[in-house]
Amino acid sequence: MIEAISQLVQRLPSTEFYSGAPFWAYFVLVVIGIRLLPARGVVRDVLLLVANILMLLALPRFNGTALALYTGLAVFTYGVGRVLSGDVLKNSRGRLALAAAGVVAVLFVLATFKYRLLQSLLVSNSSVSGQGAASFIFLIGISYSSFKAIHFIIEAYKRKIEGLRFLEFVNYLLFFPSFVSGPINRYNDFHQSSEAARNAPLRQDFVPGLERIVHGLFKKFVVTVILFPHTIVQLKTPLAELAPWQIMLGLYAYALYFYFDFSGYTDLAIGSARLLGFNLPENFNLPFLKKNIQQLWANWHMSLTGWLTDYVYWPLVRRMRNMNFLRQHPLVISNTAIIITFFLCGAWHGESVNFVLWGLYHGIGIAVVNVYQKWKRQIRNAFALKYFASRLSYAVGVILTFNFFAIGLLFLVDARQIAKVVQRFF
Amino acid sequence: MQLLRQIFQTHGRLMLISFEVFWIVIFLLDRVSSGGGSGVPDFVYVNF
Repeated sequence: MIEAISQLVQRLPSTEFYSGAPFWAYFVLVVIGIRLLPARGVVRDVLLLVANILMLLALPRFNGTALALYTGLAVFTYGVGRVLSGDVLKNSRGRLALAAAGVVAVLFVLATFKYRLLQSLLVSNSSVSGQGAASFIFLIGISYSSFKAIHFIIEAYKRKIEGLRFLEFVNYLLFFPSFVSGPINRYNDFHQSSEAARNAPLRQDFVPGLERIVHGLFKKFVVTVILFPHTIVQLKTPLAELAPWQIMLGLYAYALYFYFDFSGYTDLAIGSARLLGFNLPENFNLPFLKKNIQQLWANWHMSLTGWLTDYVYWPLVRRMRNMNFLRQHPLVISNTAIIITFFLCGAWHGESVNFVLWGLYHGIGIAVVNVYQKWKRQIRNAFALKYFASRLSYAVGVILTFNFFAIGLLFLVDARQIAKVVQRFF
Repeated sequence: MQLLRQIFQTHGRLMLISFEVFWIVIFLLDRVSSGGGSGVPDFVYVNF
């Protein structure tokens, strides 16, 4: 059945989300179907589910197999969440074990379809397939779906999930505007949004949604097109032969390109969701105007940093606070947790060492800012205090922070050439 | 100056949207006239 629908849909032109003309044609039909048909309750949930599935099947790298895998993930995660939210398991150890097993299983799925190394090990050891891992199976959207699934299991364990319904949960997991690259929304917000959208007229969301889509299209089709040729990855000369100023300009363009590309994508996702009657969380709040790297990260890809803070950073801090030898050193606890969190953030971005180094670079950067902030709080000198509160201090902070971020992108360009690049500077 | 500020406060959003739509159309027309391949790169985060 799924395969038949998949084949039928695949006869239509496939499209990347937000950048292909067919996407917008399909999207208009979906908005009409969801917002203008007089469907209520379960019928509306079913309509949204059908729309989500059809839109995902229109993606070039999404097929019936991917849909079956996601259906399995949704059923598994919902089942675990349902048991944890209900009174079936009364034993607290049993609940904890189930939640931990659920999270580990989702992480296993994420690692299998994200990392070539693990997939090649699994495939080459499998007796079913003797073909090895010549072709890597990449499951589009697996990162963001896994984050949502882990969030759902943990919140179910805390008994904080509201209005749990299977169809709504599947729609939450497969919600197409945020499926490929977020923002990572939370289940309760999606539920509240879904409830509010049931009776809301389209005109209420039309102008704000459309406005957001125009901002996103402008960033994607105008700003990034202007910036892209000047980014360091597009320069024809090898890095080691470029002058320092050329490297820095290439990195600045790359940093701005990253921002406008990803925040443009977020605008398109938020605007599209709004036209469907759903609110997605913000992902960016002028990160390049923040005065230190800690603040930059608190305002860059906010739905991911929020997720990492809730499900990695704070659990690590709580665990370390229980260790006697660390209890008296809150700064050590905080900095260790932040470095581990960014190490994992880097590893999530990709399996090669340069992503891990990039994560550590930012983790250590934030740790240094933490130490600096502690030192700053002890200063009583009137001149220094006046400087810290001044616009000059803010401007210096913004410039240093942007440079720190831009230089960090070297790890993503080619970490092996960093030594040669550093030699060019001295 | 105050008049300009007042105009921007009243019509700023409309002016911004018009500006953005104008340039989107220009860039899309350029893309179409150059055979659809004038280097709009994929979204950075699509492969994550």
